[in-house]
Amino acid sequence: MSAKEPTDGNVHEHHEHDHTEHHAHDDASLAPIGPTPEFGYWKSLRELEGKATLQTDRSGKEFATEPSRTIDPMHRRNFFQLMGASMALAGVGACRYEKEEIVPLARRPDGSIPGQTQQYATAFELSGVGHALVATSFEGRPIKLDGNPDHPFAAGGIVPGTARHAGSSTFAQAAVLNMYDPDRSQNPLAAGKGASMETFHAALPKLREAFATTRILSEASSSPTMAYLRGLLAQKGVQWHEYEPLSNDNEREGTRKAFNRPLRPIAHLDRAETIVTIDADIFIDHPAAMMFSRDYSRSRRLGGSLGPGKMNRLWSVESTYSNTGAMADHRLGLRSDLALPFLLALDAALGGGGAGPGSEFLKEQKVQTFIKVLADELKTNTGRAVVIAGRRQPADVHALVAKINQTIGAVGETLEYREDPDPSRKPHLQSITDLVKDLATPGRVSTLIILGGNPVYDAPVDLDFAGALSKVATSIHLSETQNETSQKTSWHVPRSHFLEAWGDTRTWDGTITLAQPLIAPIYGTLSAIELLSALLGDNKTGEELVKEAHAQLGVVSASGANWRQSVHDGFVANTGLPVAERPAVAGFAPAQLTDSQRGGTKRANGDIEVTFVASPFSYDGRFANNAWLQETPDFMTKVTWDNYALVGPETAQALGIANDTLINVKVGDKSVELPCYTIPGQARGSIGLVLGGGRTHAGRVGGQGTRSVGWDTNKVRLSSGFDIAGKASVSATGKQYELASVQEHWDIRTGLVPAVTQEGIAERLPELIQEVTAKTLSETKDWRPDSEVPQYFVDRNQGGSHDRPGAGGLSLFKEKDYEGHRWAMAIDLSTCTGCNSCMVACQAENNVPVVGREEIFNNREMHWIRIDRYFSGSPDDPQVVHQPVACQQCEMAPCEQVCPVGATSHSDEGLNDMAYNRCIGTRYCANNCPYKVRKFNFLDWNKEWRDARNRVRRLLFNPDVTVRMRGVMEKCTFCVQRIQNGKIKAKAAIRAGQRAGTVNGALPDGEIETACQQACPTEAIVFGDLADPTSRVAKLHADNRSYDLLPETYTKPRNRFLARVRNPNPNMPAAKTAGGNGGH
Amino acid sequence: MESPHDEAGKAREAFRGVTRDVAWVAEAPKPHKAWLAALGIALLMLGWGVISIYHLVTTGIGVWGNSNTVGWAWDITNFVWWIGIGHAGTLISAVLYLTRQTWRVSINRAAEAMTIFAVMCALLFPLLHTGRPWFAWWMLPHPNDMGMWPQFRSPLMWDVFAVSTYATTSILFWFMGLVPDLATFRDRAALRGDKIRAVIYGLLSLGWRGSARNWHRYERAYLILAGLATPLVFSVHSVVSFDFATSQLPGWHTTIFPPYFVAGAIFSGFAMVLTLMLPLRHLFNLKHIIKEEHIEAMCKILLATGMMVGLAYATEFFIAWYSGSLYEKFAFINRAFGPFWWSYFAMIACNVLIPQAFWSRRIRRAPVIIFILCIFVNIGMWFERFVIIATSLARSFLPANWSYYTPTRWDVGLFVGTLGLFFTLFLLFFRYVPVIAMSEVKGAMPEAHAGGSKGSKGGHH
Repeated sequence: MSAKEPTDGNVHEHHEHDHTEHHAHDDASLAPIGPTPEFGYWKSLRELEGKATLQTDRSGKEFATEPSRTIDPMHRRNFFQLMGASMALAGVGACRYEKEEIVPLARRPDGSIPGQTQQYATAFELSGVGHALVATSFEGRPIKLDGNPDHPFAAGGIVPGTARHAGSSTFAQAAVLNMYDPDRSQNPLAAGKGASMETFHAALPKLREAFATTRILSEASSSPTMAYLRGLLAQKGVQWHEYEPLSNDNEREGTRKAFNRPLRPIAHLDRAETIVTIDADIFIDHPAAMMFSRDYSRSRRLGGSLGPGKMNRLWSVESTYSNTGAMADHRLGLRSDLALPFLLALDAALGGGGAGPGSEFLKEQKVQTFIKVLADELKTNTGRAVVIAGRRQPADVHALVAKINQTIGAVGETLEYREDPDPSRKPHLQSITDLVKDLATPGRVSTLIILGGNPVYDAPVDLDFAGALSKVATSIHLSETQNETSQKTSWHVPRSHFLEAWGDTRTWDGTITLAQPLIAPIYGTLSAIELLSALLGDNKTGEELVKEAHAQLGVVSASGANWRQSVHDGFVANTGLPVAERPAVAGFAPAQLTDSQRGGTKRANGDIEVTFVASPFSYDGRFANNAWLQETPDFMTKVTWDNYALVGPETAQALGIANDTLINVKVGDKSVELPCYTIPGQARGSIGLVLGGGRTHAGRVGGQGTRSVGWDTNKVRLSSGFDIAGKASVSATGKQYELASVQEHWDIRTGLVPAVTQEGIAERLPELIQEVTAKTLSETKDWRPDSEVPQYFVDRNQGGSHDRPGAGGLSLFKEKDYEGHRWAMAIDLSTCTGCNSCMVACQAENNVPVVGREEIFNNREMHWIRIDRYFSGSPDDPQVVHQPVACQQCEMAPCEQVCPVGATSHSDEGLNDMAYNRCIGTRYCANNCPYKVRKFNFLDWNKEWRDARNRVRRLLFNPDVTVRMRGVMEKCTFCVQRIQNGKIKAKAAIRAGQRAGTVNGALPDGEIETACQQACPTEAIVFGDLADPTSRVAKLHADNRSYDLLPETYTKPRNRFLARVRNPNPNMPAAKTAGGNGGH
Repeated sequence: MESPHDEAGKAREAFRGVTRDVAWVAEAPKPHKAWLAALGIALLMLGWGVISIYHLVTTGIGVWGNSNTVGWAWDITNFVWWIGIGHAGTLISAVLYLTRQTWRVSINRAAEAMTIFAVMCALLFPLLHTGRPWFAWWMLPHPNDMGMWPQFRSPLMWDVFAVSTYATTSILFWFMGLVPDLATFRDRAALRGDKIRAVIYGLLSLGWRGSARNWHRYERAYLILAGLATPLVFSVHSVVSFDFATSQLPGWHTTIFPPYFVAGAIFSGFAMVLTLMLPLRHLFNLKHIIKEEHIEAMCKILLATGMMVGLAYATEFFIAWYSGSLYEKFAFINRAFGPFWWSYFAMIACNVLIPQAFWSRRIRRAPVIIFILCIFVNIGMWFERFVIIATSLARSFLPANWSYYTPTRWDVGLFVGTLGLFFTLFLLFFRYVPVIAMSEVKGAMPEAHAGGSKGSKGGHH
């Protein structure tokens, strides 16, 4: 990361200022799930099912062209776009460059070099948890977000002595798109009508008179400035409520039970040999997910942080199959409400007293073995193990986990507790319940100010928040877009995006992290703290407020001496929450087990458990209008542009439903209709409902009115079953709704002999995705993946090329000799958690277009890097293998040989380059690419940005990367723009004598990072120069675990994969895998 | 025994009969009603094609069913199919000429026209299947100040040369053969006083006088062109097959392709010749020129080439198994039993099983049945290309990319459009151009050899 300059508020100010329909199919005759005696690798349940019976649905119609399915733009895209296309043709507009206006920077701000990007530290807050970021700004407009590699909590390399690194989540990566969302609101609304900011300010003095009956409902925030303002308002009698639909309060309340005060457990996975997750997706859906991912990958390698020959082992107990489950060495699919009896049994097995809960399901052989072996391992690894429970689990479970962690000696070793920053705060659910009660009581509340959030959409449905809201005289909603809540309040005030406003937050460890603006508010909006200041009548700027609050806190001196440094770094050093010194668990009595918790795992309809799952697309719905996220396929289901119910194979069979069946889920007297995705590994009798869909006022991407992406699962989210609801019933509606998966394009037609498909996959997967056990790897010194360049290539030319000794040769074409840089990549399948950050980072960096749901069906998604996911084993206890695939940058690239116009050719540094403006679009290269990483612009994906009302979106484009026109091929370039910039910078510095080295010599390893590498929280992606034998990538290419994908095609890829290492406990029964060579 | 004088008179009468029988089609004052109806239908199809092209060029390849996995589908299928159809024309006119198969004369003109029109239809696809057809000229090597040059390792480049050579040679060959007959038309028009036609046919007949010198030059040139065209029968489709054979893709990457494609091309070409000739022969009463023996000979060729492609299918399967390659093996098993099984079995049924009917002499002499069987062969050969192209692409190496292909109305539209173009051109040809090579037919008639020894190939008039 290059120098970050504090801007001190000198932000340049030269800026001017698809959707889906639900197709229901009346096809109720669905194939039952048949017995599947042998299992290999497979892609999805429906494919496996195909073995038993030919699929119905589309498979029945051989020549079917379903209107909803065909790519026909006539009904796919809206009519106006087509009109536009026709107009454009009238003058063969397609061949012309577009006229553009430029804004000359007459007075250049200090330190800005036109055309060069600058980096500024900032932060973003999600559910009250801060994420330290670095924003890249191009001539005054932020275009990219990444983790802050200086931040004490966010940063840290995986390998000692390597470059600083800070991964980031998909949400952090995509957040920049929200700022340029054309659907952002630009003016306040008063009673639904447009108003100006002045009228809003003019209305405030009157509100000040009624502070005693004023309430503020805020989304969760850990901002010290917000807390400071909250204190000021409290003095005036304003009461404060906080609500977050995806909250961590259960953990907080659990620790309160265990320790008599709320504490924040933070596990250090880099020190743990045994990691146990209880219904927790620690790599994705956890406030410390980035840290967990990083620490996990530190100990997930032989010779990593645990020392030579040692590697962690991950045990996962969960209801839905999460990324964490996919990484686990042992996974137990279990209803979420059985976590408590499971833990009681584990506690008992660990000698924690008590006889165990005696639940039915504990009698199952599988569960018994799991608990016994796990307990033995925990006992062996005292002080080197940790248990983490997920946010869905009730307080009792978290308290019990605290107890178990104490028993296994985790506290102070692999686990630390930090004090809660605000112990007296009411839990979110309690807080909003109280608020609704007060709203309904006449005279209690005259004004309600809602800071962010969207309670009308996501508050528990039984509270009827909208109804209560309508009883308040004045209600104000501060929000970036007009969402469902804005429709119901008397005022809507547009909110600044975090890149437009000063602010602060705390990362999960408590470190105060500063958010500095990179651009003046595009639409003259207010931030939350500015609104509160205006309400107080102070009208201070955000910067003044943050400074003031920090002076009050004592973290910045009154003179502001360390202010500049903090802004530069993006955080205030040493402000983490205090660590509680080995707190002891006070005796607590877990609640009595319910009937359900005493039962077995097989349940009848009506006794089905529903769990609520954070959406990978929209989190809790807030990112619904973010097209990048909507189109990023969920890691497990590979579905885009929708949410769904996750149903296990047995449950589906019992209920007579299959993939894409529209089902009706009933919880209490509430119900919701949504499609189901049958996913193996989903616990019996448990259904996962993904949140964040069915928005009615999200915008043109996420849903407006009746056109909406997904289904509103909040309709069945009651305060009594906010995270896990029992006694749900499910019925098929007899209708079908097709989910747009990027991986099972039409696979449902399994053909004349469906086994052909299945066997085809099972046979090749062990070659494509290599696996090995830690035991084999440490015992067999010369273990190599079963993936070598075939002998006939080797025999013909023993000489070989420099990086593949003995593997040169048998080719019609002359093999290139490389002098100078030889760029290459290595991807470690062992530590890739499938978090998708690389996909979104690539999309942001490379201006990768979004194609929309219908085009996903047509298999035209444009992602330059994708993550292939396959299952292996039996459907009730499957394992997951996955593989991120970008362009392999083959030295003997098949694509280059077939391009008739030489639009794709090889660089001297070994990159497979693509000249977009030379491409005529024959698609021959894509046909000849064995990895299918080339993506074709079938239509003009960027057409919308030419529309005047969407122009603001164009400010986001990375100017270093061409925006591709329709009809050309594109693909991963190894971020060639970053490579060239890195080289230029190094050359300039060397020429200026600022650093040693030769102008064309090797660059320091890690100086150039690809976007995917930079975003990867586990550093599973490593990029570098093979010419430098000391580079990490060169070492990884030489690693025993490394292998080429499809070596028999003799493409000589510059990307190598590192075989996935599994570390099963030898006492556990071996997982049933088909062909895997893990046992070598 | 008749006197030589009588014989000459009879021969003259017979020759005149041929001219009359061929020329009346073009000289009839009003076109045949069936012709008009056929032209109307053809123009409607062509119109649909024009709309499809407009929509395609203005909107993008996205209007088709192609995807990132199945990059080529109907577009290249149609291209190869049309090119294949053209082959029979060249074979009949050039190869059979060189091998002195006199029965060819009844059909060679129409077969050559078919070649040209088929190549025209075929050429549309490589042009329009590109994402940016307005830049397709970059495929042509041309000096330019951008320093750009085509990439000659690409089989698509080879295609450009193979197909353009083929088109040029075919047009020259066809036109060359037309000259004496056009002159006949010219003379007849002049006699009738139809000045417009006389001028047009006069220009086209390049001043043909029918002199011995004319004939001498004509025969030489015709022979040379036949010699040039003959290797093209084998080379063009071999080069087209290189598009697939030189690639990495299992199912494409096959050395058997060149002969297999050539056999298939001749197979489909003969089927198309029959499809066209049988109705026209009936409609325009040319049964005494296009005789049953000619049709039977073509049926035999269909039987032979059909079995050649059948052998190729079997060989492919054997080699896929014999190779031991996982991906290769799967490509073929998947082809037959995977999601595209219906297209595979459509291909087998139409190309291998149905032509077996031609073992029967009765069927070889039943025009209606032959016509129906030829339609099946045409369908089957289309499926062959579809099976090779689409099913191989749909499931290649990495299962995560596996896909399916479904055409859209615009895929269909363009294909139907090219059929429309083909039939339109063919119908126009039939009405305005000597549809049967009169001069050659006369040369092949027994009367032409009346005076000389029986074996002589005199044919000079």
